[in-house]
Amino acid sequence: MRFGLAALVLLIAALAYGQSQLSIRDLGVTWSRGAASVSFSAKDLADERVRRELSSGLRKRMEVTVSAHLNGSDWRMGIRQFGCDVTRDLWEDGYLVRIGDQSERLKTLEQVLDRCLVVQGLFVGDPKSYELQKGRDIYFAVKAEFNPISKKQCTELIRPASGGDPVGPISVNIVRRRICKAERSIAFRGALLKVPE
Amino acid sequence: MSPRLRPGRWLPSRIAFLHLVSLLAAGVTSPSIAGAQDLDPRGEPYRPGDVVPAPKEQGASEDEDAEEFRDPYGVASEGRHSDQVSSQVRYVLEGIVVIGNKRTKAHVVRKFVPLKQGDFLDPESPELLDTEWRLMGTGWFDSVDIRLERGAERGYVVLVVQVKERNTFVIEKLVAGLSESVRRTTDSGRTLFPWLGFKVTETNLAGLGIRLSGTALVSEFQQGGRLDLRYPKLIKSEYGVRFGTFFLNGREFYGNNPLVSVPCGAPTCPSSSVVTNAVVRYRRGGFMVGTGKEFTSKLRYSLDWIGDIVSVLGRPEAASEVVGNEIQPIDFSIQDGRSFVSSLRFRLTFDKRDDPGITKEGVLFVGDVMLGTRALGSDYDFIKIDVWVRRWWRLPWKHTIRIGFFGGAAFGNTPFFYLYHISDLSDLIPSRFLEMQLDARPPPNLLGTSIENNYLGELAWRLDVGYDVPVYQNERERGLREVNVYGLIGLISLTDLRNQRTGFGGVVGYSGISRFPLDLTFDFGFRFDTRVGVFQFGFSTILGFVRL
Repeated sequence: MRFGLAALVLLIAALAYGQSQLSIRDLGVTWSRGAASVSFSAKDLADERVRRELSSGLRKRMEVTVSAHLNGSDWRMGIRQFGCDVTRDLWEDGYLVRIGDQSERLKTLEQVLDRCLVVQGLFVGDPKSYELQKGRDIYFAVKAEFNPISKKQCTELIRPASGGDPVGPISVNIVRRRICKAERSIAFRGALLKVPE
Repeated sequence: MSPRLRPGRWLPSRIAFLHLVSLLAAGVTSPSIAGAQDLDPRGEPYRPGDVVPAPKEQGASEDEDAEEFRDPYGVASEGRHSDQVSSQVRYVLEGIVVIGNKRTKAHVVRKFVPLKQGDFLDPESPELLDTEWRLMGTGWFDSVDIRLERGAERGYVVLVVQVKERNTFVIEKLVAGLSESVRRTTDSGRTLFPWLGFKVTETNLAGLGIRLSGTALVSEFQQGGRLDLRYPKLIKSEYGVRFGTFFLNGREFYGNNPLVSVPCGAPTCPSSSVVTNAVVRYRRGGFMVGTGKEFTSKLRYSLDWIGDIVSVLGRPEAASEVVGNEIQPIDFSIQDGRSFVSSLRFRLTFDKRDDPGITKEGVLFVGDVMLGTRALGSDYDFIKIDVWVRRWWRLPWKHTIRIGFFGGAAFGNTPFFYLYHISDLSDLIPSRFLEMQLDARPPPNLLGTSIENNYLGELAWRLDVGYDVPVYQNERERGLREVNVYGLIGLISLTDLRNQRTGFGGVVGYSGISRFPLDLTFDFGFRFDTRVGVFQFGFSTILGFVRL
């Protein structure tokens, strides 16, 4: 019994440790009127397959999510997300790019990737988000996804996969999770920094 | 299909106009959005290959934007952008080409594309973009890529669906455990034995999208198998059709230390004796045919006809047991020799769960009516009504609470395998599998009520509350995604309405609340959510072996 409890504690500790691991990258952070504005590149999201799909002629979506966290805590004090919709125009050899309510036409895929994934001066949260954290250590986490599937779509796709309750002490219900993933995603975080006093 | 995917009547004249557009385009540099706006201020109708404007929202003024921390990506205070879809390019579909399919028939793949040759194609149409996910959702492919290629003429495109097939033979369900039961009525005590149940499915039989499932139970005392064939959306592309056949070699256990009379043929045999359980050995085979339809992605119904042939191979001549302070005969709820059960089952399901594996929020309702009647050739006249509802809430601190209710009633001459069994209500005893009873133990009776006599009944309900705590969560491509500790406690009741002495008024010989057949049930354990599925390890059936 004691051995079992110890093993359980070790398992939970190991899992909790594994959860906090994100690679660290350079993130430029400037402060304007009490709000943080970040700059970074997530261009490595665009591997060979992503580049190929962006040229497929159908709309493809890249989504970037940046969140601000207090050091040593999972609590998210601010979040910002934007989507970048890209449609290649087959007959004009260009790309239509839409971010929020802005549309523009770009000539090359490199220009598209620079526009969508090389992020410059993105405000994350507002001054209220940081007001109570002045002088404390925070970090920014970034997640960039290619063609993320919405929660609603995912629910509808995997719904018929599983049956009712288990009948015994050990049971396995197969759920096709893989279809609910973005086609490609990367995640990283910036170094610790202090919220200006 | 959305009307905006269909070409209008003006298609032929517009296609002719395309040539003119292409000639003009040759002398013009990349058209700007503003240029397109000038060309077609109303935005509709579109010409194939035209660039048309994305509608602009009536937003805040520049001054207000400045206050809102506007940057090149929008306004910071909005946090998340809404999923806007606005068309900018339209083409005409010249054809659909499927490549990479070795087993799956091309026409089966084409059924998933909401367009046909000659339709207008909007490359931003959500329905078209969902096609990739819908094809992935079939489980037939490792990857699905949909792309457009230039057609023979300007404005025309060919839709290319490139698939990479995968293994479509999957293990859908796997369950294992230990149970206690007896081989025959004359056995002096119960034996502990392992059992294994599984369901395997070929999801794309002959490349036609047909699902063929095999379910089996293997144990020392019970064996059974079932085959199901399901053809989704066969009739009018709306109604699914399914067939099933099964064969079971089972034992049903009755009584709590009953007095039985067993013919053994030898003159030294006692005429009757007290045994652990009265056992009915039977073989049951049958056939099912049914159909179903999805009204919406959440609401569906099914209608099945089920025919069962039951052969009783052996049973005590008579059996009785003590219930309260009276001795009552045991009703085996099955006819001697061979009998036939013919029934119709209608099921309505409303499923709004966010995830069928580890549910965090949503609701699940299942309503089931089963009717067996001589009008259908049945030897048993009965009606059975079940209602099952569960509601999950995600709490602010990321835990999940669940409340569940099950209620069911059977009226008439219902065969035992359609009656309610204590193992289906209590988590402390392994549930029936393929409608075969795995465990012969009596109800745990943690409240000391008259439920101790009830293992099979016609009225059953269960009310439970569950609580889930995620101890690990990580979205990753492979391996473990979530570990969840769960606990559950519930109140159950099982009543035999056929017996006047154990009916609604409570059992004679018990007093106070103990007259009513109530019991507690609980379970706790771990759920591991992995890429391949949800593994659950529950401790309740193991604790069920501890005599409390």
